[in-house]
Amino acid sequence: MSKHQIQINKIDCKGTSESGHDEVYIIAQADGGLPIRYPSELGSYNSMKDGDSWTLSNPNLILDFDYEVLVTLWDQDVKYLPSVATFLVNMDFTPHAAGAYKETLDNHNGAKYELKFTYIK
Amino acid sequence: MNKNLESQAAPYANDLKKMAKPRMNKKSKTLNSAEKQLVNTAIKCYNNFAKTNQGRQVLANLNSQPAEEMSKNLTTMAKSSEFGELFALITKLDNMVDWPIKSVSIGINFSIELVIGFAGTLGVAINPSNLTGDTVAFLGLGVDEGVDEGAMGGIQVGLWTTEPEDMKGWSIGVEISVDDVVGGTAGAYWSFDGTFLGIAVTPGGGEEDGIDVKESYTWILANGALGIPPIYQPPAKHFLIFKKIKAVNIAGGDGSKNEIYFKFTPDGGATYPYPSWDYVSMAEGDEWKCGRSVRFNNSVKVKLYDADDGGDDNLGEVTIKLSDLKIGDETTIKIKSSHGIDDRDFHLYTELIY
Repeated sequence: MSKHQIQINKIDCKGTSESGHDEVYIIAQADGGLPIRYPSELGSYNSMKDGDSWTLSNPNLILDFDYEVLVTLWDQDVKYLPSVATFLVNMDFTPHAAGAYKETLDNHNGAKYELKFTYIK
Repeated sequence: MNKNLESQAAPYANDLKKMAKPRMNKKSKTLNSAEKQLVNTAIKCYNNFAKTNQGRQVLANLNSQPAEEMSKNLTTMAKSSEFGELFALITKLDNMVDWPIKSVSIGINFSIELVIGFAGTLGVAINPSNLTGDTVAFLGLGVDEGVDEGAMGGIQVGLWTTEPEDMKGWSIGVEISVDDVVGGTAGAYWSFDGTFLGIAVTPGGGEEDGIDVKESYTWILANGALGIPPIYQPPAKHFLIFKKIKAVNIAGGDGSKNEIYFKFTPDGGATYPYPSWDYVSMAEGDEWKCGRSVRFNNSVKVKLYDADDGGDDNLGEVTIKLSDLKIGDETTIKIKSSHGIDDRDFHLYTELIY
């Protein structure tokens, strides 16, 4: 059983990497291990423009880790062809006191996203 | 061994562990004369292709490329003139084989270990009646306790009763008698409901490469891509986090940006880019909290790049040794490079966790 657990609750878009929408999906990797895609189905995404919110509740995105979990947000430019995806932002979560937090992340390509998350343990 | 493929296929192997396997009954198959001709011609075509300059290049590439590039090379092999003889024979023997050959696949066998072992094939399939059409890429994986971690196997040529895009699903394969196959091994496959799926041959394979009995699952890969970047790292003795990179000095000074990405290679093994694709724009003074973890035993080589349409600039490389680090301490690694009148200076902040 992993020592720590975090839930990514919500993502707010405050700027996109391209005009219009980013087709956002997440890849998370705990402790250098197996990556998780969210939404899990390859090619799926959540379209987001400035001002949009994405509540990650179906299913919940709960990540178990011992030392760190790296969460990266991507803009899917071509369906099923991740190698041409645009890197949006990333955040590396390390052990922290339980509670709800938020963090705004940005990129010179225009992407600006606020992550709302809860340290469960 | 192809560490890129191993890393990309690992999440699929993990999914396979969780999938409910249908009950499948072992069957057997004896090849008729037309089927023997097809199998042995497949071996001959592969051997002819492997002798060409293009063949040597393609086969060398398959040992290191990520899946997306491998699919392109396998398509090159399938559409090469050397395999023309096989497709001509399929047409000629159309009414002498009592099952329809609706697709021909060419794949590379490999194995990975993820607590338990898996044997797999990454391949492309094409409709033999439409050779100018697109190929469909697939990944087949089955549990195999006897695999060698990260080992690459031979090329597999398959003749199937299903259209390329219909190859998804469970199958069970059994080895065909070696007496019927000259210079390789072959297997016959059925779906879980007992429908005959076809035969696959591995040219050059020895008895140890035979499949015996193998239950496996096949995924169809859109655009030849596994969809997951090569980021999974096998377990190692030590764990390091690249916490952030600071652009201390970049070419052009104020207002200019470098399109930064880096590649790291633990212990001379697989090389992992980060971001896995694309880059992060950094102006002078910027800090990127990259947060990339690294599993390693003794050392990690890091190369920093500035992505550029005209060819990426190498911004320097360093090899971080375990002896450079102390558990719990932050260690700053300086990466410098000189480009004519421009010097570039980046600082990589690391922390050894264990």
